[in-house]
Amino acid sequence: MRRPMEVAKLIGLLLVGLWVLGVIWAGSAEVSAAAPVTLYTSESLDKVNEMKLDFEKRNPGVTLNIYRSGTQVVISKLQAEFQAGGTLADMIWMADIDYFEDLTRKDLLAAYTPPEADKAPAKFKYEGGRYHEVRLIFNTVAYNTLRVKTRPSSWKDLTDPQFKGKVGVASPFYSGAAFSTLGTQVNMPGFGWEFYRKLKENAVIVEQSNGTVAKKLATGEFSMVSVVDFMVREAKAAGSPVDHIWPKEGAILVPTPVGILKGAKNPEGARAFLRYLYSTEGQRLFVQQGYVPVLPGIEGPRGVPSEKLEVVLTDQAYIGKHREELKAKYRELFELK
Amino acid sequence: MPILRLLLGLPLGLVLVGAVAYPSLILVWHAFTRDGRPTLANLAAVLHDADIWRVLWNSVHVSVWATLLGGALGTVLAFLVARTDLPGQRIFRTAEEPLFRIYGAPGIILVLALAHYPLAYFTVLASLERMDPALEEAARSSGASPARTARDVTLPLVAPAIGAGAILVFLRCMENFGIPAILGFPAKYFVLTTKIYATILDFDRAHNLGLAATLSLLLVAVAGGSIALQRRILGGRAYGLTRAVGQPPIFSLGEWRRTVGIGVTVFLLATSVAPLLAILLTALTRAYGMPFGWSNLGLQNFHTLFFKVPVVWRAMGNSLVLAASAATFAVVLAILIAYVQVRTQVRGKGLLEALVILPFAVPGTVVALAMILAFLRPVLGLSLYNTIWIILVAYVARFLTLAVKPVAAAFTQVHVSLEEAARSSGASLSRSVRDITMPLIRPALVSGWFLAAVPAITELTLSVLLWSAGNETIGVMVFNMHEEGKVLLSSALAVVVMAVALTSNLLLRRLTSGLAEA
Repeated sequence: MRRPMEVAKLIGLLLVGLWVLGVIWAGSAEVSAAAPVTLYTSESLDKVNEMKLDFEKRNPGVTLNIYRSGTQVVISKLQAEFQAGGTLADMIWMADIDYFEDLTRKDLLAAYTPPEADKAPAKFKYEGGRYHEVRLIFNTVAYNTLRVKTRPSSWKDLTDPQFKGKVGVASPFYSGAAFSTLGTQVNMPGFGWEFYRKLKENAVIVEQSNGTVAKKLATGEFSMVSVVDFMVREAKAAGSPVDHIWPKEGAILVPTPVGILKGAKNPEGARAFLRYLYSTEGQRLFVQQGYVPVLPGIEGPRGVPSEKLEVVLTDQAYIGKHREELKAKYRELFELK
Repeated sequence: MPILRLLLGLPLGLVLVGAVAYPSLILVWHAFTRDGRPTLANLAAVLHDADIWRVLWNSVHVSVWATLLGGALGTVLAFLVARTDLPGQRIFRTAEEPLFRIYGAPGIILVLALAHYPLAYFTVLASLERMDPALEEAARSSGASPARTARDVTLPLVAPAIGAGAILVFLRCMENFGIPAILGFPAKYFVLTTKIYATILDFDRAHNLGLAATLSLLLVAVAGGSIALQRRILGGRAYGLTRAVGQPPIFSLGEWRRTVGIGVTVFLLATSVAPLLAILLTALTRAYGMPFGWSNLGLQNFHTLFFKVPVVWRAMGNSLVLAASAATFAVVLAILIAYVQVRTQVRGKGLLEALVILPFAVPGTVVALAMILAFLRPVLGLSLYNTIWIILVAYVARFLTLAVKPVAAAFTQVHVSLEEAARSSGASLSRSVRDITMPLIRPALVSGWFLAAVPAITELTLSVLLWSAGNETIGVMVFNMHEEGKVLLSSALAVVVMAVALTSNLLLRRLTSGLAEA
């Protein structure tokens, strides 16, 4: 059997060549990325990247690496990594406060409160500074201004039969904001599961993400939706025919905390990023991106009333205890398999 | 020669055991255990769920129809290009790229078929181009009509290729994730892959990973069954085919030439160019929902993409390096595997083939799950998780079979007697390899490389679960943006990806055609 000799030589050479190239390539990557801060987040990809650029500009020498996906995907990845004995993440930032409570119970979060953070309302500093609300997001009712002539005023306008089949919401199985909304609304007086049954009768369409809901609202596929506020303001500013209201029952605060993990590989860099988020520059960039700032004295984005907003605070204790039940009921009601 | 065997066997064994066998076993372990104890609870939960059977039916339903549609499209197109005087053949030869895979027309079947028919096309085309036209010429000059020649000579000879192409299309449809995810989710239409993905992510559900692993075994059963069927149908049919260079068209389309030419052109325009234009226009749109017009067009999405989302650049680099490396590894391994499969009689060839096809037959989501379960903790001191290497390992395992198919087919078609003839005429081994084997299998190596590299550039299913901070791929970026509802941005990125894919494709084809002629 001498036949394959030539072939084998060739293969051997190729393999060695590839190996060398690969090692050089990996080595150069290692050198250039010295001790980055790694952030796992469900923040909007373009917004958090814009933030990264501004942060790195103001903190020379610190690199921020971002893993960005839907809340559930990020948590699944974290869960898997924790089970395997360690995560790459230095800090996490996403729309599932329940998970932060869980991590607190497991003592996996490092407390840190930047000096500026004390100016924010105390209720947005959780568990002694283990995690923080760095800007505010609300779930509200939004509508397409070309398709809806009478400005809605209530969450219940979503069940108006004249918009049957044209109403969209995000899936609580994917979106933390949608899950907070579900967990809050089932306990609101006059709402409960009855409200969701009526939504179903109105042939509501359950999309995966808030972004998709906002997009389909702009294109006119949906007439009225339940969606997070900043996306609507952003689309409106770009020229899309959309607007959102502050429902008379109150907009629902969607907690999206940020926290630093114990065992972070670059804890100083992570603290620097948290300080940046609370800085005047960081807060102003939030406003520019359409978010409501958490620090007083920073002017909010256009379209946000300066008087006190009607806000329903999310009932975290309830949501935390009834997580599985909420999901199971929702799955059954909307026949999501 | 033990050293030679070692040299051949070591890389093969390392890849197949490390990247396929070990993760598969871990996956099976998770399917049949709970908290480390063996149990059939996962299996029972899956089999007693009426919904699973509906999801399974959905999968088979869309895949069968897409295979029929895609297989027919690919075969007819390959025949027209390789065997008739269809006008503009040279263009059609390079025009077949599933670039529109990222977005498509509504309808999972239609999009699946359009996205995958090039697999059937490439396979059949390669076979037709290697087939000696003298056989058909002989039939014609013996008085057979063109139709009879096509039916009795061409068709039987390319039947293995058609079967291989169809099975590729079917498997790719069964395992496809992106298309049913984007088109199926709003309609709550789940197929097995999207169901498994959802189960992996439903971490609130007890034993979700075990259930996902069990579901994936169901899909493996379907895929394995179809492969067994294919082998049964095609088993034992091997034809020694030889050279074919610069052959003249065999079948004249006659008065239909113009009509068929226009038809093919329109089809290609409608299925490739029109979606591309749609993406381009979306990418240029300033705001959704406003009437279409110049005032609503602009480059701001590209500006955002390039200057505010720095990760895009890195993702692009990662994907290109990953695709090239994975394809090169795959082709090198494919030569070894094809050689063992076709030219040797070692025991365990069936196992070898199973290991090669396994990562491709199961949904990528499950390959990713197996990789995660296998490499989450360091293995033999090597930590792959959260590095780019786990993606490379997954890509090589996944796309290996794509490279093996054409190379093995080429080895099959180069009858061993040719090499033996060269050897017995006094040619040295290296000369026989250089002058006989290599020229005959070179087109297969090139097409194998492309078959592995092209899907890797825009790969989504594996990387969406294996990527980590700093190790993004382009497919992940497009999907994440799309999933987030940032369609204007993802379209702008898709335009860039298509430009890169098209350019590299044309460039490489230029290079390889130069090679082939030399």
